[in-house]
Amino acid sequence: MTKLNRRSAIAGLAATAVAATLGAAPAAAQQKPPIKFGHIAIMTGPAGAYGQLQKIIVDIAAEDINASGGINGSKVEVQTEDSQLDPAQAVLLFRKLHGAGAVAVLGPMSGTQWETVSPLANQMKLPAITANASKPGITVKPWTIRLGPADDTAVPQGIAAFLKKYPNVKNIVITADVREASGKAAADLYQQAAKAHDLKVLDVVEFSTRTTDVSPIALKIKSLNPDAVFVVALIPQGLLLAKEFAIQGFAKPVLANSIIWPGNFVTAAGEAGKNWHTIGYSTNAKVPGDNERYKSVAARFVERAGKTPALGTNISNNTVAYDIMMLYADILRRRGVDGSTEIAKARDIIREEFEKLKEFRGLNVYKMRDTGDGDVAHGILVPDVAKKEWKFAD
Amino acid sequence: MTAQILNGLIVGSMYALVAIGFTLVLGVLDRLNFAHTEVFMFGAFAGLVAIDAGGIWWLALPFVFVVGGLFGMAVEFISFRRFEGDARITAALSSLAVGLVLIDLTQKVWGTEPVGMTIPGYVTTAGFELFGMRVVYVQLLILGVTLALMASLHLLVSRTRMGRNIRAVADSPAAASLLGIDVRRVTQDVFFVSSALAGVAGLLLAFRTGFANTDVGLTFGLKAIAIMAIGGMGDLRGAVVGGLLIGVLEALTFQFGVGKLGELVVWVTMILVLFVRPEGLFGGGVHVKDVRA
Repeated sequence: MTKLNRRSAIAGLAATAVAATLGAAPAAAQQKPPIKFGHIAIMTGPAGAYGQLQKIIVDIAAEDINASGGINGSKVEVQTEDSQLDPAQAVLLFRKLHGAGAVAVLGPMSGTQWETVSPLANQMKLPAITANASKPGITVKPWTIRLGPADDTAVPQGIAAFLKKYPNVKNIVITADVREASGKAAADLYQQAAKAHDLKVLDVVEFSTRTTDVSPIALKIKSLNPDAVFVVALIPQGLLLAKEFAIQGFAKPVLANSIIWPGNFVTAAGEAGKNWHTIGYSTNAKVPGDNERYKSVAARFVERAGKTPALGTNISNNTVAYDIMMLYADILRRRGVDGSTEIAKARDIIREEFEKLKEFRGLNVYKMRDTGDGDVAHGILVPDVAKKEWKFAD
Repeated sequence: MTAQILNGLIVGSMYALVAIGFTLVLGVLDRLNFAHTEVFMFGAFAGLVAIDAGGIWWLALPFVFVVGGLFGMAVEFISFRRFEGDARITAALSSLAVGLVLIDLTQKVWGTEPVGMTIPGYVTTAGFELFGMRVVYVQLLILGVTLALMASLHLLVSRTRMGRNIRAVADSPAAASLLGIDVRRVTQDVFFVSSALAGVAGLLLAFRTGFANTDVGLTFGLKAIAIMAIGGMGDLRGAVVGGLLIGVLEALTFQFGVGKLGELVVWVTMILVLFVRPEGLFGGGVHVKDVRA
């Protein structure tokens, strides 16, 4: 009994010691003030699903950072703000996050918003990285970078991959939503790339984001009888176009830029989307970078997004948002920043690291260009109609 | 060109159906119901519920007619009944708020992205070629239902007792009341009919596109207000002709390579028409009096 008591006492002491040792790090982490990041995303309105899906993966990234000890012992907090699709709102929110003590911002999402926020970030000396804006030439250094590739690298690579799959395409029609900055820029890039590949552009059919009826567009394109169609459209118009093409019996291959890669195009288009392609570099099953980590990230993303069926479970380029969080964490860890570091100093450290950044390896592998934009090797994706997921076309 | 005109007429008939609802409330009751656009939007989602529950797609039409109508009566109760006399702007703002709440609630349930609607292929994709355009049966269904509803509304207003009461209230609610007409009942009837038409129009649009979408109220629905003004505020004929006109003009912008201006067509047409004819193309509605005064 005595032995037993002694053993119990020793075991208890040992357990206490182990617990104390293990608990020391979390206890210290809890004592340090948190590090706050801002996140500007389109959470409501026509493109609200984009932001809601991005928030899921940003939350997963924050969890992963905190689970591995935070940033030098400080927990990460993310303050997400809804910019809708409004550049003015994005500016107001960026100022708000500056005042709220964010050391850096992820977002905003659209080209038009990034075009206004990127210069502002330089004025306010608050680092920001966008994951989604695709219009080229709008990232202002040194306080901002774009990790997700811009269309001036994505579109040419995507068209090259498309023409490799469809070598007989000689003439095309371009149809584009020219209201959004990224849309107009992508339409111009399509024209440049078509010229580079000796493709004849039969017509450029422009429309607006608010177009409610796309049947005249489908009729016009059908009457021109191109070998393929290059499309720039947000998901609602993309879905309507896919449906109209199917109704009109127009079954030529369609290449859309990466705007339809995220969101529910792939889940909602069904058979009407089977001739459609998008420019991208990852699927729900595979990324170009750390696939071991991606398994865990993808599983959690699919589980959480699946709770809201309307969102779909298409991960797509949301991986970039995960990598942005990891890039921030990597910079701050390496430079010894924690929650007690003066905010202005922490921001300046991030700016310094932006200027040195040549490559970042996360779920994807990014080569940084002089423009301040990342580049990832692109291919083309097609819907797996049965699985309602993107798959590589080749 | 012929194909675009034909297509424009089909789209225009849906514009007309929504505009008729607007103009009916305005013409009879001198009230602008901004929730109307969102009843149009909600028609598609009510249709989704009906199809998912019953499995028979066409039963969604009568279901949405009733749901839309009941929602219209609810709007009348919430936004208009308490605002008598000159409180038109307050009532209109209240109806706008009801519409915005309806959008938000719909997005909470179905999300912000378009939601696919399951309709049999023989309706949505089967059809025939006409003037180089593939006409699918759902387009004929839209045209048929729209024409039938318009004709029924015309008969209702011109040939029935309810119609007589509606015309009496439109002419003078006070006089109608003195003659023993239950003005409140007529008001409810008008809201029911106008919103039922809007709901069905929303469902028909979803049949056509294959998707229910929470954005259509603020785009498609707002056009209907302009179409009402183009045709003549409160004039049923004007709503029909205005709707068809705008449908065709929009389609032709793509034919002539200026599709990016397509969304401006309705507003530019409204400005031009009202500049030349302030009472609208027909001008038989209640607001002709305002213009003449």
